[in-house]
Amino acid sequence: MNDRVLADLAGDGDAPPRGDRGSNLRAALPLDIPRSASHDELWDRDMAGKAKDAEEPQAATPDEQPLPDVVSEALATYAAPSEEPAPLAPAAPPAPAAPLAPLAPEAPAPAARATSGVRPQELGEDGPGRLVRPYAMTGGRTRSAGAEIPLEALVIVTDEGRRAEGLAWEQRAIAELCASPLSVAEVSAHLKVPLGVARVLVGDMAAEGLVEMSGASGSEQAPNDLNLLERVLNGLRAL
Amino acid sequence: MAFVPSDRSAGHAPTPVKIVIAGGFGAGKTTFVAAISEIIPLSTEAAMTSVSVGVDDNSKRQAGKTTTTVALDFGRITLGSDLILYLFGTPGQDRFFFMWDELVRGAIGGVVLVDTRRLDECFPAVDYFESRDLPFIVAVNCFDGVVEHKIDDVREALDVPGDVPIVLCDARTRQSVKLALLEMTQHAITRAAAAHSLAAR
Repeated sequence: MNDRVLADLAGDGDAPPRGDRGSNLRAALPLDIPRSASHDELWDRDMAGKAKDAEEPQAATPDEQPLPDVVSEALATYAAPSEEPAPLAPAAPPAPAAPLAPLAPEAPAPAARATSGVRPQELGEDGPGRLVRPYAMTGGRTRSAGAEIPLEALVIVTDEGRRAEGLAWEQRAIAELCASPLSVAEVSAHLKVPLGVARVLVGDMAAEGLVEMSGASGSEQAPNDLNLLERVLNGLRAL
Repeated sequence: MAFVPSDRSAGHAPTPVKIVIAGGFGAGKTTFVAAISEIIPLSTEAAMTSVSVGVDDNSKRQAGKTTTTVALDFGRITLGSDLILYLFGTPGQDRFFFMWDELVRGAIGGVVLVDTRRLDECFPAVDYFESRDLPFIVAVNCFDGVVEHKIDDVREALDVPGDVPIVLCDARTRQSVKLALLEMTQHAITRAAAAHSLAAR
């Protein structure tokens, strides 16, 4: 899994400033605060375990920044030939030998439907197949041109989405999940697909009018929106 | 596909807002989120590919690709029919800073959880929030309700200005977490109001 390209470019990877904070840290903050049993260390260790690093070169940290042109080349290699979702042709490198075949022998493959042929229960399984299938859903795309849909953007199914027939299973799953508003992050978590894949799926459905979104344009001004902040304050007080 | 979804549902759909919960290993981020979240904290996996260039020969780039995936834990609190608050925990280690920009973008503020026995572990978070000019508070995690050092000492050790609230917090209790979030929101309001009045002159 580690040598496959998960091209979900989540940002430009700038390292934050490393100040000299702590230069006045007193060594003698002698705290013997009794520590009650908490899961935090276990949880954090688990989270760290989920962060799988492929071999990292020993070069200096600036090398971790993505180099746009090489990455674009890589993406071009793996992207589907057209921008239309090509669910039957996974473009990721370890492509199955028969790209048009369903990934499970017993999966139904109705020819008329635009389906990826991936059965729901196959998603989330560990093993070599797992990475291929989510990207098969998006035809190898992990990113729409234009702004990234924020993590917290809400997705709600439309009447059209509720009524639509012949949806690919993942779209059906999203339509059902989003009967009440759900964030893109929650869609990703429930479907057990990477965030980038969830964004593309949701973006596609929004383009087709199957879902609508709230907060998709990602207000950068939220910390300055007094009205919004007051609403949050009142809402928290009422908890 | 160049489609960027627009908010077609502005009339009746709720608005999402986001607060970022930061802190070092074991500082209590996940406990904090779990204490108040209406859902069991979920996890979304984000991936980034970085391309490293071989150091030997610039003319013939030997691109090696490294793939990093990181799990982001988060919780949700519905504040009303028109407002949903998400709490996103930052990844535990510094090297996942590539995710922080995304977490912080559009957030109304942050909470830096501090374990006073490992104070320096929260420095990167404080540095980062300051660099992004994101309103934040410091919450000193008190285990068993005991704190042995004055807030002033923590303030000096962290080198944060006097207007950054530092509060005591027991990340395991909902009430305490709620108070910390209220403190953070109030701080954001104070800052926004000050910025508005400056702009108005």
